[in-house]
Formats: sequence, C-alpha cells, structure tokens
Amino acid sequence: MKTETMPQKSTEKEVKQVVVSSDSGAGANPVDAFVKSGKVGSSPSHLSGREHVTGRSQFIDDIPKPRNMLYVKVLTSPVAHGIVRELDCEEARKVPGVKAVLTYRDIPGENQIGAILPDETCLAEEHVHFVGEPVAVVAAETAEIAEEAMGKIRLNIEELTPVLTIDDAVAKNQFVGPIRKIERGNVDEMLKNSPHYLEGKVVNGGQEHFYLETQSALAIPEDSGAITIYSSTQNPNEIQRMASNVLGKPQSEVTVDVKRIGGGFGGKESQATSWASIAALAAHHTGLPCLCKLDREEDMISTGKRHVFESTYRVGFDDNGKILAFDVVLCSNAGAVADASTSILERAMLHADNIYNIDNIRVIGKPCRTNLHPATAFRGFGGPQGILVIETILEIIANKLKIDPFDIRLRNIYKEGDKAHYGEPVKNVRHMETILKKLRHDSDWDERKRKVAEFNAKNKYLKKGLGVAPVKFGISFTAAHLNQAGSLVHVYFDGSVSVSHGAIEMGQEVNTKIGQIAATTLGVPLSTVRVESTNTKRVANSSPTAASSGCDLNGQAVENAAMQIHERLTEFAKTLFNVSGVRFEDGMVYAGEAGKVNYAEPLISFNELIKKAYFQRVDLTAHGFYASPGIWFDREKGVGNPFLYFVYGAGVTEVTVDTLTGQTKLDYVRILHDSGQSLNPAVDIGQIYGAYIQAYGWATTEELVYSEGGKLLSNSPATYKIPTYGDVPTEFYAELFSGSTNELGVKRSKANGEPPFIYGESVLFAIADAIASTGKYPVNLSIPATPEKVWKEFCSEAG
Amino acid sequence: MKSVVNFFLNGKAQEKEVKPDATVLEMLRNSYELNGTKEGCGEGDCGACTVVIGEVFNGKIRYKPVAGCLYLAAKLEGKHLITIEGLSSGDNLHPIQKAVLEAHATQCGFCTPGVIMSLLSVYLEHDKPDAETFRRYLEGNLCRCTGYITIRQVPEYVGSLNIKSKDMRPAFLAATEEQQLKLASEDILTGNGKSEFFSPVSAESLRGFLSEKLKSGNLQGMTFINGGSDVVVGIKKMHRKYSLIVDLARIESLGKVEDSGEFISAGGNVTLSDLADGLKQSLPVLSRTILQMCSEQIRSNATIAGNIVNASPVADTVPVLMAMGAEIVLDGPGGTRIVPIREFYHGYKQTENKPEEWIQSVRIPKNRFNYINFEKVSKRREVDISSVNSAVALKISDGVITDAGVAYGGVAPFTVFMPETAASLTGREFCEETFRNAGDIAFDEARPISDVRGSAEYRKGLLKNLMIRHFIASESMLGEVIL
Ligand SMILES: Cc1cc2nc3c(=O)[nH]c(=O)nc-3n(C[C@H](O)[C@H](O)[C@H](O)COP(=O)(O)OP(=O)(O)OC[C@H]3O[C@@H](n4cnc5c(N)ncnc54)[C@H](O)[C@@H]3O)c2cc1C
Ligand code: FES
Ligand code: FES
Repeated sequence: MKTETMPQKSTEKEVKQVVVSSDSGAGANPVDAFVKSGKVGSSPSHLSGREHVTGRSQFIDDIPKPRNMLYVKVLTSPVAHGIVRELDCEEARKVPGVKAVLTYRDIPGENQIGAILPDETCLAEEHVHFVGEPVAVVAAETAEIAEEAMGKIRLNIEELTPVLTIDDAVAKNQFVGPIRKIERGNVDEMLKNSPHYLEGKVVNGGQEHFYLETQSALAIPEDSGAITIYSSTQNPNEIQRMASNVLGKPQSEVTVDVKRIGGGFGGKESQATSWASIAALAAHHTGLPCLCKLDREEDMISTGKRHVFESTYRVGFDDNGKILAFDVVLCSNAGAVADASTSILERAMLHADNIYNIDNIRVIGKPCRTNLHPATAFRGFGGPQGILVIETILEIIANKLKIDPFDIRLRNIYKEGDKAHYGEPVKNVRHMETILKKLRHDSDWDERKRKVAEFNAKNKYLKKGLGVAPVKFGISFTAAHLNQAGSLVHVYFDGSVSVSHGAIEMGQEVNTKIGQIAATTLGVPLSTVRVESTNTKRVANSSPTAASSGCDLNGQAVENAAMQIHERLTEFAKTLFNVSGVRFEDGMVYAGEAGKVNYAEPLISFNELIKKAYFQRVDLTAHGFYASPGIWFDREKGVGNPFLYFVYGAGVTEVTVDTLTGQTKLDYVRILHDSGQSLNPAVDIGQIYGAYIQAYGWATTEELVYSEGGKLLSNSPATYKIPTYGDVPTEFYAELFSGSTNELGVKRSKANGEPPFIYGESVLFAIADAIASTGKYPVNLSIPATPEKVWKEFCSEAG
Repeated sequence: MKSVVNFFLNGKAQEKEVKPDATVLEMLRNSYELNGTKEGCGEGDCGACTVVIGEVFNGKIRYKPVAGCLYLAAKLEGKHLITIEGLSSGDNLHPIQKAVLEAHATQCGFCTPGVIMSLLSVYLEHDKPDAETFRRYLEGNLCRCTGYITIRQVPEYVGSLNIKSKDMRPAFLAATEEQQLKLASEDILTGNGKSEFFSPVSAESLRGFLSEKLKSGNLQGMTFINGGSDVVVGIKKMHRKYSLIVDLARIESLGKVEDSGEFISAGGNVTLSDLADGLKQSLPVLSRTILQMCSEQIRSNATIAGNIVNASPVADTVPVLMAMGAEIVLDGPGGTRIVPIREFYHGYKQTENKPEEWIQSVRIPKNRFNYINFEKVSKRREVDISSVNSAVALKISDGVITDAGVAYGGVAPFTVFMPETAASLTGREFCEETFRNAGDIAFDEARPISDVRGSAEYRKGLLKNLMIRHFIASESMLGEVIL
C-alpha cells in the first residue's frame, strides 16, 4: 500500500490508486464503490466530518446549557512554592449570584487525584507547589460574577524558594519516583577501550500541547446522588475514578461521557482530571450543573507540558562511526507531582537505543521533582526525548568522522534477530533498513547534499542544511495492565449498528477507523454504523486513549464483539437458508464459502436477516474484550517484553537558515512511514502531517519562557508560537511504506499517532548542518532552536 | 442618534441592544446559541472565532474575515455578520465544506469552522485566488492537528467541484446586500451611564460630542476604538475598564487613502488590509510591511492609526513612517495640528496626542527617498510580534547616499529614530561596507532590554544585522532569497 501527496496534487486521487492494487478483500467491487464502502483499507471521510464542517459538532462549551447552570472559576496559586497562611473566602461568598466558594475543606471524599502515584491534591492544603495549582473554587450564576468573587478571596502565601531546574532538583535529591536503570554489556570497560570517546549533554525544551479546545468539564447532578460529567478528556475512566474519590462516592454513581475532544495530544490524559473533579465538586455542593472551562491563559499556566530533558552521555565508537558503548543519564523535569512522569521516563529509557544495536549500553533515568506545573504526556511520551540523545550523538560523530548521516545510521542499525537493550527481540527491524535506503533514494539525498553544498558556497548569509531522523517506536503501554480494552456493539431491529468503545475521538479518527472495522466485520455499509460517545456506563475500566494504542486496543475489542454477532448471524443464516457457508458484504448476505461466494444472487439483505434473527431470539448485542498478549516488563531489573510490535519510518528535512537573524525556513520534507496494512490511508497520512509539523514547532519556535519565580511568561498564543499555515513547505511528501504487514495489529495495521513525531527531529539536525557549513558543528544547539539560539551559534562561529 | 444596533445575521435583519464591551463571539454564543464559532484564545491569535463580515465599501458590499473575539458587537451597525451556521442548510453542504470533508482537512474539528470562514472570505472576494492569497487569508487560523497540509489542498478540491464563483455565494447574500445598501447611517450611543459606546458617523458630531464631554468634566475612562485589536485585548485580557468607548471606524471622512503627488495620506480609520492593497503600487514597502503584521482577520479592521497610537515599541508600521519622516495630522475639539511622527512618542506608551485628539490622517512624503526597506525579525515568520524591526529610507544618487532616515523598534521603550546611524549612511557610497559600518553605529546608538521576545544581547546583534539585511534587500544583491 502506498500513499503519497504531491505538492499540488490531491491525496485522495493517490489513495484511490492505492486501493486498486491493494488486496482488501473487496472482491468484485469497483474501486469507487470500495472507497465509499468505508471498508478497512479505504479512506472514507471523517465520521464526524459533516458535523465539523457545519459547526454543529459539540465540544464541552457547545453542549446546550442546562437550566440554572453555574460557571466555575478556579483560584490558583500565584507562586511556585509556599505555605498558605490565609485563605479567606467570606467576602467572595457575599457577592450576589455566588452559589459556592469551596476549598479543600469542602471535599467530602479524599483530596487526592494522582492516578499513578497518590501525590496530587485536587485543591491545595497547607502548601502550594507550582504556579497555577488550584486552591479555591467559585461557582456563580455568570462567569463575570465568578470572576469578581474570585478577586475577593484573600489568599496569603508565605513564599518559599522554589526548585525550578533539573540541576537544582538533582542536587537536592528531589525525585517524583525511583531512579531506574537498564543495562547490558560492559559499558565502562568498553568506553575506556574505544578508539574514540565523546561526552556531552543533550537538552530539549518542553512543549505546550495547545489543543484548540481548552480544558473543560460540565458536571450535572442526577437523582439519587449520582453525577454525570461531560469532560474534554482522553481518560474518562481516570476521571470517573478520581472524581468519585474526591466526592466520596462509589464509581458506579459517577458517569463520564465524552463525545469528542478538540485536540488532546496527551494534554488531556491526566490533566483533565483536576477540572472535571472541580466541576463535580461544585455540582455536588450546589446541586446544580456546573461548567468549568479554562481560558487559554489559565490553561497554559496551570497545565503540564512535554517534559524538559537534560541528558548527559558518554559514548565510545570506532573509526567507522560504529558505537561501541553508550552511557546516558536521562533527567526529566517532572514538575511538582508525579503525574505520568515515571512512565514517560520509562518510555524515554526504552527508546534510548532508537534503531541502533549497541552491545554495551547503560540507560539511567531520573524523574526530577521541581516547582513547575506537572509535566505530562505529550505525543511520543518520552520517546522523542530518548531518541533525541542517540540521534544527536550520531550527528556529531558523523560530522567529526565525515560520514554521511545515512551511512552512519546504516552502520549502527539493528539486524533482524537482534535484541533491544531491555531484551525484547526487535521484530521486523529489517524493514527499517529498507525504509532508510528507499528514503535516501526517494529524497535524492546524495544529489540534494551536493546542491546544498553548492548553495552554501555561493551564499554568504543564507545557509542550507539537511537532516534525517529515523524511528523505531514500541507500541503498547509500558504499564502492562493498561493493554486491555472493552466494547459494546448492538445491532438494532432495523439493522442499524451502534458501537461503543473505550477510546476517545480527538481528531485521530479512531471513530472512523473503528467504524470501518465494525462495518467490515459485520459486512454492512459504514453509513449504517454509528460510533457512540465514550461512556463509562457502556464500557467500564477503559485505558486512556494514549500510547498510539486507541485504535489498536479498542479496534480489537470492537472486532471481537462484532465477530461474536457475526458468528451468531452466520449460524442463524446457514440454518435459515440451509447453506454450508454465508458471506456478509455491504449489507447483503450471500451464499458460499470464501473464494466461492455467489455474488450474483443475494440470499437476503442484512436488515431483513436481522428482523428474522430478532424474532428467533438471537442475541444481537455483544460485549467485546481484548488484552494484548505476551507483554511484560520488570522495571526493577530493566528487562522485559514491553512492546507488542514496533513501528518504523524515517524523515528527511531540508532547511534554509538566515545567519543574520537565526530564522529558519523549511524547504523540503520527505517521510516514509510504516503503517502496516493501513486501516485508512488518508487518516494515517493526516497523522504524519500533523505530527511532523507539531514536532517542527517543538524543534524551532515553541519556547516556554518562565519568570525567575517559575511563572510561565509565554502563556498565550501571542508569545508561544506554534506553527502556522505558511511554515509548511510546498514540497512536503509523506508516503506509507508498502512492504509491511502486522499479524499482531488490528486488521494487520499499525498504530501511528506518535511515531511520526520523531521525524521532526530532522529539523534540528538540518539546522545544525546549516550551521556546520560555516565551519563548526553546533554541539550544544538544543530544542527549540529558536532564531535567537541559532543566531548565537553563528555568532560564536564568527568569533 | 439611536441606541440600538441594526445589522444582519446570516441574512436576517437584527435590532439589538448590546453591551459596550461585548464581542461578536460572546454575542453569538451567549445570546444566539450559535456555537459553531469557537473560542480558542480570545485574543485574536488563533482564528477559531473567524466570522465573515459584509460591509458597504465604495458603494458596494465587500466581505472580509474578522476575529469575532476582538470585534465588538456594538460595531456591527449596518454590517452583515455571516457565521458557519449560515453556510449550509440541512444536509446541503457549501462547496467549501464539501471540499474540506473530502480533503480530510478536518481532524479534531475545533479549528474547522474558522478555517472554512477564512476560505469563504477568499472566495467571496477573489475569482481565481492564487496560493499567495490563500496564505494571506489562512495564516491566522491555527490548527494543531492537520499540519495545514490537507487544508492547503482544499482549494484544489473546490476546483474539482467545478463551481461557478457566484455559486460560492450563500443564497441570502443578494437580498441582504440590497437592504444593506439602503441603510441610512446614524450616530449610535449605547449602554448605560456607567459604560457607554458612542459611534459617530461624522467628524462634526464627534467634535460636538467630545466638546460637551470636556465641558462637563474630564475624559478619564474614555478610549477611542478603531479596529479594536489592541483595545479589546486590553478589555478582555488585561481587564481594563472604560466608561466610554468612542468608535472612529464609521467616520467617513477618515476613510480615505489619497495621493497628492507629494504626499500619500492615509485616513484615521483606514484599515491595514485596505492600505496594503491600496499602496501596492505607490508605496510597496508599506504594503509589504503590513502584510507581515497580524493576520487577515485582524488587518481587516485594525488601522494604521491604531498601530501608531497604541505606541507599542515593536509596532511594525512605525519604523517605516519614522524613517520616511511621516507626519501625523491630529484633529480634535481644539482644531487640527500636525506633528512629525519622529516627535510623536515621549516614553513607553506615551504619545503626543491629547486624550480628546484623534488622528485624522498620516501623511507620508513621497519623493524624498528612493530606496526604502523594512525588516522584521520574529520567532515565527507569520502572525508574530517583532523582536526587533527596522526601516531605512534613503536617497541614492549616482551610487551615493545623499539623505537617510533610520528607525528601529524593539530596542527602546518606543520606536526610535536613529540620527547617528542615519548620519553615518549619508554621503557614503551605497555598498555593503557602508551598511556594515552603519550597523556598528546602530549597535552603539540603542540600549535594548531582555524580555519574552528576545534577550538584550540578541537585540543588539539584530541592530547590526538588520542593517546588513537592508543592504541585501537592495537590487544589487538580488538572487539571495530573503526569508
Ligand atoms: C493577533 C494580533 C496580531 C498582531 N500582530 C501585530 C504585528 O505583527 N505588528 C504590529 O505592529 N501590531 C500587531 N498587532 C497589534 C495591532 O493589531 C495593531 O497595533 C493595530 O494596528 C491596532 O489598530 P486598531 O485599529 O485595531 O487599534 P485599536 O485597538 O482600535 O486602538 C489602539 C489604540 O489606538 C487608539 N486609536 C485608534 N485609532 C485612533 C485614531 N484615529 N486616533 C487616535 N487614537 C486612535 C485607541 O484609542 C487605542 O488606544 C497585533 C494584534 C493582534 C490582536
Ligand atoms: S478566539 Fe482565538 S482568534 Fe478569536
Ligand atoms: S483539526 Fe484540530 S485544530 Fe485543526
């Protein structure tokens, strides 16, 4: 399967071509009908697309306001570290229209919302630990009244010196979890005996998610003490757990429902919990529906971001650039509470090898506790930070030894049968080599390199550079228990289908893909399948939609449920028509076994069959379940089989840099990515585009600037700059690798939400290459390579 | 004088009392329950709130994209407000909507209505829009999901639908346009004593109104508003309160761009967009400068006068005006006077005009210089505030610089004219060496500070290097592409 976009050419056309040549079990169907059928492997349009383009899709703030709904505002800590000396809400309570002003004392249950480690309060008690930490809650008839009342709360905090940096935290031994290690071979010995030795530090900045819909939740009290929360979250199950914990209710009395969210990228995996719990608390106290929606600045100040990592490394290598020993300490700035930091660090450690076989390797991880907002999940989940170190090292070595960036990578690459540093065989890694070689060819790398050199020789002030970034990304939650999913599928009397699963639709089109899986499995048109909101009453104990696994896990669970119904219907139809085999296709039922189906004469339509089945009391509902097989990881020992499979790919970037100002411009991007047998090529390509550009922002213009006291200063889109329309080069090509399949993935597909993020690291290497053209490799250039930092590198070169 | 605002919403006439500080976004969502227009930031920077506004311009109706979060509802008088809900009826999608769907140009969907409204404004005003036009209109729509690539493919899908340009127009436009053209314009005073919004249609009634106010007390708590892109951000984000907002945008006499041969004069409420279009031939440098500022949703209402009076140290039009020696014509209850822009700023956010004085026009001398260039450095190339900006205006004869104006922004509390740097250019040959030397002088002439947009050290470096960019931009160096 192959998909590619030409600059001025439509994807759709290419996708159609793809579909002709792919064997997706479409039988005799003409191509167009196949595309429209919405079967697995085709690219039907977004399941919520009509809602989106008409403005009818409801996000939290768009749900019609229930009668008497209150607006919730949250007073947060203005300082990074301190002791609360006074918290007086009396004046605020007196403001007309105010229904409740709440502090931690008003929490009926436990003041605890830390999902992995119990170290996070819902509302601060005696201490505050970061700027933006929730302290008090106002619920009032209008947002203005709530705002006014909030201004009347007297909050007096005695400031303590905050710990803001990794160095400071390490010096004070402040960590949010245990220090971990993964080790193989004899690193120290080999470091001593390597022909070449290098040490240094790789630093990356954090990243604001900048989902377009800010954090929001609407809590509605129901009768008999129950409560329903509509939340913009990637993790309804955690909200259900934490909100019931805060309210002191059993989970069965708290329902969380999510139709879709306006972007998440990891930022709503655990960070939506605060606001949903706060809305629920306010609803509990007032007995009225309560809406808690952050404005952009509140959101940016309070909520956590991608982890800053500072990693020190030592590396030994030979004359060919082959790495012989690698020793790295990955330090992450976790912020004030654990959140998912230990898991994120773990993924970084598990990706420290990227695609390279290193016999002697030691990876140590330290999650540092500081007084910043709790850093959290963000697309890649530590993977990008872990990979950045080894890729940076290879760039430096390549430059030192004058080896081509592709060559040095191919000299170090894993071979089929090799094991990763934690012991798992790197399955199908042979594709990685094919991908790199093909990408080198397709991007005209060698010719391009020549032209870049020519350009640089001719131009005094503008310099071009090239970069490549490959990825091996492990799929599965490293916390093994999360690798499970449930589903609920109904077929109604009229033949229409309702699908519920545990994943959240956040633009990655998990619903479209899962709809395709259900339609394909049941043999009905996609148009008759409705994918429902994600609701804790329909699917319990779901895992967060994260780790790129939303469709993998939930798709399998849905396939499982649909299969049960399909099997019941198959048996029923066989008996009914007295045939030995039946096939369900596009809403019709045909007689025959696989390969010998009689498409000329359908036996009956799906809808008619359902009616008959109902009268014969066939169960038309199924609950599905899936748990990924064979996954385990012993974090004490640093060994295991944490991943079900790996996704491979690589990206090439060409940039132009202005030496006078440090500004960077993208000129050319080419990506080759492995999606297995893509469930929906257009969606997968869309994920690659989005991830790359998001990573480009991380690598260049997205800079988190803090005050000395630890308050985020770049706290709005006026000062925090994510990429815009004009940043995208006309020459942007993304192609799905055709040689891959995946027995372990749903319908042989591979997950692809996160892996393509890595390709954006090639932007950094391209900038470094441009700088290097003036004579010196910028070993300390860090992410984000802002114009100012790039300019500095050129200056230092000039003298 | 009336106290209600008359406008059209998706083809239907409306008469409404509005709060002086309510935005279109708030009005749509709170009193019309039209929730398709989203709030992504509330300060003009994301485009999720983009709506299209139809207005009378030169005797015809024209359409423009507007950031609903910064556009006061009280400014809607006579306008046609078009929202995403007006675009389709039932299951009938507008061609742009169809194209977005087919191009897979929507993922989470939150930015999508805004993107579609921006696209609509392109198609309503351009028969055959080119890639550059799309870029101009879409740079203000942030999307965190798609990476913009599929959005960029939408026009091609629209093209493949073979739609005539008239069919891109929602059906209700024609009838609404007829009614809009017939509306009489009248002064408006809305709000209560505590907070009022006054929108006069002539300079005379403004003068009268302000004279009255001056007699009865002072003008504390009063602000002029034009496009509102700075004023409304102040109200919503910095919680500034005004007892009186006086709108200059409807005063017809302030709306002209004139070329006298000697001067180009831009009226006190001419928008940045109109100026960029109007000066393409006569003063391309200012046209280009403007297109590097804000986004189309902002430029469509924001004015050059607002940019000047807002007195940001990094206002982008000001260096050009300063280098060229522009003059500001002030008007007010006390009559008119002319102030050179080089003498307009007295300190951080301190300007020469009295609270009751407004800019009637900006006059730019046309013939004094024959080489003018503007350079801007910002973290992101589009829709970003400058770290440092700079303009030079030179008279070059026979390869020698005989007259020079130099201004920099972002290196002092307000945009500064740099006489020493200018002097260092004068009398010298027009060559790189001259500019390098001038860069060194500039380096010593200003003392920038550090802030979120750049360190003092970087700004110092840019003082020098932008001078070199001013040279590179000249024809002699063509072939070196400027980013
Ligand atoms: C998203 C965004 C991006 C921006 N990007 C840029 C940028 O790149 N570069 C840049 O320079 N600016 C930028 N700005 C700032 C702003 O858009 C400009 O300063 C704009 O020109 C202001 O014009 P306005 O008509 O909207 O001013 P308003 O907000 O209406 O007024 C601004 C000030 O000027 C006064 N005023 C307005 N007109 C007059 C008049 N005729 N006489 C007397 N006083 C008057 C008002 O009282 C007020 O004090 C940006 C703003 C936003 C929201
Ligand atoms: S809401 Fe972001 S521009 Fe208006
Ligand atoms: S589709 Fe999600 S922000 Fe654009």
